[in-house]
Amino acid sequence: MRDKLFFDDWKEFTLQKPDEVILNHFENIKNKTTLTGSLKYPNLKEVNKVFALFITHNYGPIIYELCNFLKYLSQNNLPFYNIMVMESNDLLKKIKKINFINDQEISNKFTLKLESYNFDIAYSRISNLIIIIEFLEEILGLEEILLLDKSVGNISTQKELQEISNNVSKKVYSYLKNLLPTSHLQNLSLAIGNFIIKKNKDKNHKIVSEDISDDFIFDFWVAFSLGEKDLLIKTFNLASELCLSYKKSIELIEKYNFSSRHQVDEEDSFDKISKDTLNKFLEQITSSDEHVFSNSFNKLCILQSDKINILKKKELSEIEVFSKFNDLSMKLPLTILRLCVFGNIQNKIIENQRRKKSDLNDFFHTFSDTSIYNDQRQVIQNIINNNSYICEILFYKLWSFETPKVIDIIRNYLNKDELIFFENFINKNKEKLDFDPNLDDIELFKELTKKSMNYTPDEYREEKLANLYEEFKVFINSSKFQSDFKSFLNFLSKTKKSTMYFRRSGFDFNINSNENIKTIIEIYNTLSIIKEFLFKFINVLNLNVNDLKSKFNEDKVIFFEHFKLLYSKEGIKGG
Amino acid sequence: MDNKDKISDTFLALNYLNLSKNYSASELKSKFNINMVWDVYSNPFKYQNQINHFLKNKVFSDAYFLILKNEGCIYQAKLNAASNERVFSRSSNEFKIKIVKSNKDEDVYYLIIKIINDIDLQLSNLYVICDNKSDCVKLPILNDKQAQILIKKSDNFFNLITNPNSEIFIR
Repeated sequence: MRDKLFFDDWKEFTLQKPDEVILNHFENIKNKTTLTGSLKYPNLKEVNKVFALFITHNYGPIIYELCNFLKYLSQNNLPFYNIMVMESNDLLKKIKKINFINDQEISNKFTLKLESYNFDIAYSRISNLIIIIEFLEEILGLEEILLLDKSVGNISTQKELQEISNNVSKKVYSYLKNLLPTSHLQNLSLAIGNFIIKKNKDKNHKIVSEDISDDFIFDFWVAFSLGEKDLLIKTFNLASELCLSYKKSIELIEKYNFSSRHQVDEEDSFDKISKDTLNKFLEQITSSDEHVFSNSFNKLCILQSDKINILKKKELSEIEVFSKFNDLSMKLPLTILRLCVFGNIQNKIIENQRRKKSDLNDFFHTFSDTSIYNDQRQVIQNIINNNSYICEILFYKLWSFETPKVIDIIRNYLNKDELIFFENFINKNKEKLDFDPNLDDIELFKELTKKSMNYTPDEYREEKLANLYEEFKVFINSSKFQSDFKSFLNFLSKTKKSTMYFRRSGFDFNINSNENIKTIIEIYNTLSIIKEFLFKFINVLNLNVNDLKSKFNEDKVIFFEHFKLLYSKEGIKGG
Repeated sequence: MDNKDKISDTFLALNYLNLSKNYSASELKSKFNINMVWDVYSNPFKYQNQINHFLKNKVFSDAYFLILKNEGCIYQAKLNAASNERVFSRSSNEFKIKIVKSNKDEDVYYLIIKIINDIDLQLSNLYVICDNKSDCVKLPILNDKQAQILIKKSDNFFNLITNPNSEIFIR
């Protein structure tokens, strides 16, 4: 047993039991094992989606599908527990066999038939339905599953099946309805929603993404960090994180505007939303880690933990905030800046208080002649520059190792004229390499099919690139290249010198091996993504805030005034 | 459900997913689930000492006997027209049961089980269930399709096995 509860570190409020109950349910499913003891769901993506489906009350159609599946199993004398204890491949084989015996045809789906009612279930849905029944067992208990199986076994019409499905949905809704409103997260969400309504002075205001602005987040923090409220959100960081998460939720609802699935009384509730739309919605909820920036940031962190220090720890911590908010960062760049600057200042105040160094005026005085917004922008700019520098060196390495990949990235290092020459070269050779085969020639067609079966698309592309590179090598050595690409050749010579002094612990960039080249390409791509993202952020920030210095001075007044209220002895102590 | 509620649900899902990344459950799960019931069914010897404790739970017992029936066992249904409160002999076309009092000890009885036909199943336990009460005893190795177990009159098992309303499973 752990000594400390997970939520003990949440200093801002005491989290009540319901949040832990929900997370425990989720954890139990994630930790399910097969009969041989290995993790049942090593890839958590589908489990996460089903969890999001339950929390957002979109389970109606899926529970209906599950009921159809259970009825199909019952009709074919396959006990329901098989789907929970068998390996999914064995189960699939068994169902395919039953389906083949019944219908005498090979298909990608099986069909439940009840009188004149038919319901198709694709084999690919089985893995998802297994997770659904696991969640139902977890939430409602085994007793309800036994009852469901018994009821489904006894029915003979679609209407009865629908009633059973609606009953299960009602039970899930009732369970979650009792649990969620008492959770702290629900209270936080309610507080943000109500604050938006209050600010708009309109009870019927329809909440939109623009409601969460930089000013709103600041005002929300001010309103909920003081006084005698049930809910105290003392740090600006937490208030911002919650509001940004709320903003993302609004945007998802705006984008996937569908009616709520938990209106289980509606008889046709399972028809109102296409599975595709629902799946896209769930995909968005569960894909924050898959964002291109988060992904790249995580790769650098993994390299860091493997002692390969491409970016410094400090640099990584400076951009960590973007991996949390990804594209939202572009929408509220000032809040991101405030988080980095005033979030940090607030942490220092808390630390100073802990160390009994509580003279706030002295502390504030240290910021009198500075413009930390400018400094912070410079920090980001420096990271961009550093990334560019490392990318140049990596490019040079790839160039000197004669890696075909350079054809993909050389454009970044060519001037305008060189770029035109290069594109001409590519177009000329593209025709040669991407010839349009005559598919009427059966022998040629067979040969191509055989070849394509032996290659993955990536491998096929790699092979093409390697062929192109052979042509490119001839081109590089021509006198035309020497005369037309002078600027690029200068760049190479300059970078060659920098390469001599370039070192990073944990990785030898001088080794020309396939594995090393693969790593260098991966690092290059990762740094490029981070660089582009940060560059875009700086542009958005410049567009949104005209003068960073005066904005910092303006913000300094309002933030410091509130810090005084929160932390000075004269101020009102909250939370 | 209005817009605000839908946003709130999505907000919860996003935050729970985020929190779950670093979460570890504070308490171990104690509820029965079908995997656990299946494990007990598949490994009767592993759970020999716990089975009676598990069977006290109605949900476990329901799921367990459902699996037993589906997956194969030999079985005797309730005796519909029993004339006595206690029966000391009963039979089906699969097995016979006889309960004989010991000459030496009043509290001790012999339960004699005789399997009628050859059977492919591995028979390890005898289960009795009546009105949501159930019990289980381990079977000794069969000798000439016959086994004998000592039971005590004062035990719950005796009450159940002699109850005409009990169902009996051997597996």
